[in-house]
Amino acid sequence: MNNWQILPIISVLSLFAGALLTALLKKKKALRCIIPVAAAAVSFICMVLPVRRVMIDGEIVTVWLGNRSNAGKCSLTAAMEVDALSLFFGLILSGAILLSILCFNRYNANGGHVSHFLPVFFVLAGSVLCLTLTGNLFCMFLMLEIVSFSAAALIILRNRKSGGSEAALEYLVISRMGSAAALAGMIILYAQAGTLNFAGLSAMIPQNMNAFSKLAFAFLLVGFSIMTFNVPLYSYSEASDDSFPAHFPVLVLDIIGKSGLYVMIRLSFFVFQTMQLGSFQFLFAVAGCAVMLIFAIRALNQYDLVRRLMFHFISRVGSVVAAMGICTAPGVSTGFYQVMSHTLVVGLLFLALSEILRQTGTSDLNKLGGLSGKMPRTTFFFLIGTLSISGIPPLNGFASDWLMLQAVCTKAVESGNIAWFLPAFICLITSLLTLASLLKVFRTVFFGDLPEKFRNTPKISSERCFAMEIMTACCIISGLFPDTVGKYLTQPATTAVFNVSNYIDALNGSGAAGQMLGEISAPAIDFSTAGVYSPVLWLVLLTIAILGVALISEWLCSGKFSSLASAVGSHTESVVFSGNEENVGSMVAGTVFFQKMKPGLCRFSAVFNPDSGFIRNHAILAAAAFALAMLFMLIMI
Amino acid sequence: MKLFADALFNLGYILVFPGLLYCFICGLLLSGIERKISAGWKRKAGPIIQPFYDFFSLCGKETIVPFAANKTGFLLSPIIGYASLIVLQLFIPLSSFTAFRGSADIIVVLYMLLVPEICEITGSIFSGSPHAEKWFPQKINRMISCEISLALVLLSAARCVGRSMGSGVVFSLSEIAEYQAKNGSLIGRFCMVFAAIAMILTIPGIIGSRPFHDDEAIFSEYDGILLAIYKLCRAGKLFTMTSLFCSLFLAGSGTGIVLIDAVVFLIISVLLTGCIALLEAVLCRIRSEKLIITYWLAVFVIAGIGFVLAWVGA
Repeated sequence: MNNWQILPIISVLSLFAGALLTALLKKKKALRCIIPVAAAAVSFICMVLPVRRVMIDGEIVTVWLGNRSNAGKCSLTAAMEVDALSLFFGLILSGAILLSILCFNRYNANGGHVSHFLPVFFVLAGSVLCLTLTGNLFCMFLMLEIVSFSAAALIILRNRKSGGSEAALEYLVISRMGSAAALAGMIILYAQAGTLNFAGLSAMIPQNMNAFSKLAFAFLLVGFSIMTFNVPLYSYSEASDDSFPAHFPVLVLDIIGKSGLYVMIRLSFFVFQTMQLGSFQFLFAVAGCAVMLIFAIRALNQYDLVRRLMFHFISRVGSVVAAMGICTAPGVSTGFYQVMSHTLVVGLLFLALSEILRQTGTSDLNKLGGLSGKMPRTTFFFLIGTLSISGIPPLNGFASDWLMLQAVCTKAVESGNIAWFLPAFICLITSLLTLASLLKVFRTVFFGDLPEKFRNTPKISSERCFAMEIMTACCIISGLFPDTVGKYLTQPATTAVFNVSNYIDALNGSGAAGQMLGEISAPAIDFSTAGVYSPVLWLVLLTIAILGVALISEWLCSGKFSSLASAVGSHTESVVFSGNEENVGSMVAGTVFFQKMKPGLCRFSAVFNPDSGFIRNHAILAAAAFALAMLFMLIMI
Repeated sequence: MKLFADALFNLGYILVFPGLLYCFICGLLLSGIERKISAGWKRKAGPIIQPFYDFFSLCGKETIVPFAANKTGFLLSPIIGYASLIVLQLFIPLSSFTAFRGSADIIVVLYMLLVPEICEITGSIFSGSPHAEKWFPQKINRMISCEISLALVLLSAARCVGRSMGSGVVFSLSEIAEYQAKNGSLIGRFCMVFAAIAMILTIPGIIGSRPFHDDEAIFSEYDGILLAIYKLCRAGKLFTMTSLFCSLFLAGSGTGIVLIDAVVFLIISVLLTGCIALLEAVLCRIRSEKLIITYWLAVFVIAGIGFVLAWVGA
């Protein structure tokens, strides 16, 4: 094993070490701030360092834990196998973990008592990262078990309201169902193949697909989806958000949700290789579209800022699922770009949300308003996040929508099926709904009358915006250079997805794939798109046009009191608007939006609001998901 | 030296033709023609160049920034909105001429059409006026209704040309225009007639005229040069949409000489503006929720029929 090949192990271990050290040293205030950041930073750096070898050179890191090698085809030994796909998700997750630690530190330093969360959060983070880097299904299951218990513990630890214990219990019950199903699936697979390594499973299972293998797939897919909050099996999210520092569930959902996506991709593209089937592509596309639309509409009805943002985040995850369903190189690459873009935007909005909560202590849209004077930079960054998640050029949200539309159109032409345009339209509608919703939130939170109790809130200092500046810069840069991001990150991950034989050879020795699968040639992967888009040129042209319009306007009004320069320096004493309105809070508060559409939407309330809060109903939903999945696998594969 | 010349040419494209000055003159001219035609139905009088008078009179008025406004956003919103329209115009071909070829396709154009709308919304938000906010849901409803139909129209043209060229779908507007220059205008195809009708019905929604509600109240706190720029935005949207229509459906009617093509396109834009003005004069304002249903049931269906026919090659 080369020195650089232990970097993934260090990345995972640093997080578990962070858990141990933060638990032991929580009484030392200085160390309490330094150790978490150091642990998360080491983890992130250890994910960045192998990028050149793994992403660009195409190497695969293989580490047999305990220094035991594969004994023939049968192996229960845990292995870490890091290809471009694993490293891509590892980078995203370790970056999200570092970001959350930075925010925890700030929250903690300002009197929020979250130090007891940190050890449990590190355990969750370490297990999520290990899950993406492992090459063994059993290890993945084990890590997901740790994730689920950590997540439940995080809810229980801060039980401000009785709803916290109930939410934790709800999640534990449902996740045990998922865990049992995943275990059953693993047992079936081991009985079939005699191994639980992904490489061995990839070589054996697709060649010998029978009813038991299909059942195993159903169990694993639904079981892991429940444990990682893949929609619609998300019993965790709504009930538990009152129990934390209110930005926390957004972050936990994002991290665990990304790991759920990774699991889904590994199972579908690698182990069972069912994504070549039209029925599976259809399933993913339809599920993704449904999630996009339903959650974007549900978000409109939310009065709480945290919940509204959470629903929008989940909605955008739907576009990732739909992109995976396209199952072409551009489609899968688009899905990965959306994963990265989604993490950046979630990070940015989550940071802005943290600042709002830190300043005001509430996330109720009816109680917020007029904050732009107190936090002008947060206002700007929130607007950038809003425009990015809504897909406005030249930000990364638009680049992901553009790639999505390209991939969808290409797929429709190649398959000859016009129905493939549906994800494109759903994506467009979702972008518009998200834009509408978040612009309304922007207006409600940052403008209007400042409530009396916030008038003494100090203006936010510049240091606390540093993380938001970094995230904004990442959103803009990734939006301006999607080709570069594609070349070094998403396209290598996509190549890894379509090149299973490389993965098998890395673990079982060169030529093993040929022996197990017969003569296979590397698939031709074409990332070219039919459209044209130069974001840098667009931005340059826009900048010149803005300067031109501003200068010509100034010239037209030069020397008069109507000029822009005089407006910039002007000050008016009037607080009355031109229509004599008073400067009050938002008349259409966060409680009311799209009033005219609500009666129509109410007819679909059962679909749009399935969460009744009862464990029994969630269990029924999970059981129904199992049944449908089994039927689908048995009939369609 | 060549770089310097190229840079000057590009600057000329942005600021003169087909950029700022061209958009300014044509936009206000079309706006004046629209007003003249719709006013003619009501026996009202007024010169065609009234929008020019209005613009320059607004330039002489004081620009007041409300006390509760966010000054930076309040000032920048109209400027960014109009600048984005100018940039959009640079990507729309004039027959076979495109100022910046190969830089944006129909998907970029579709999303860029949202930017002026968003700037209007953010301008009203930054002004802090609660009155302006009343029109916000209607504006969003209008955007959602029209953008989907417009997406279908654009994809119809892309598919029609792509199918003929054997490449499936052609996203580049320049290639669509060049195809028409060689093979005749797309308006002659049966499927594109539906798309053209849908687009004409969509244009009032994009520019905010009847039968949609007039949402100029969203500018209630604006005055002076900033209000003039917002009115220029509205005129610019009319010009941009008519230009887009010409390049999608009538690009085959060019001569190959840029200035003559520009005049020909302007004449076609005037005729289109007449149609839109006719719609504005004849139709009353319809309630927002009924209008949305109408657009989804009627315009979307027409655009959908055109798209399906383009897909199968009719």
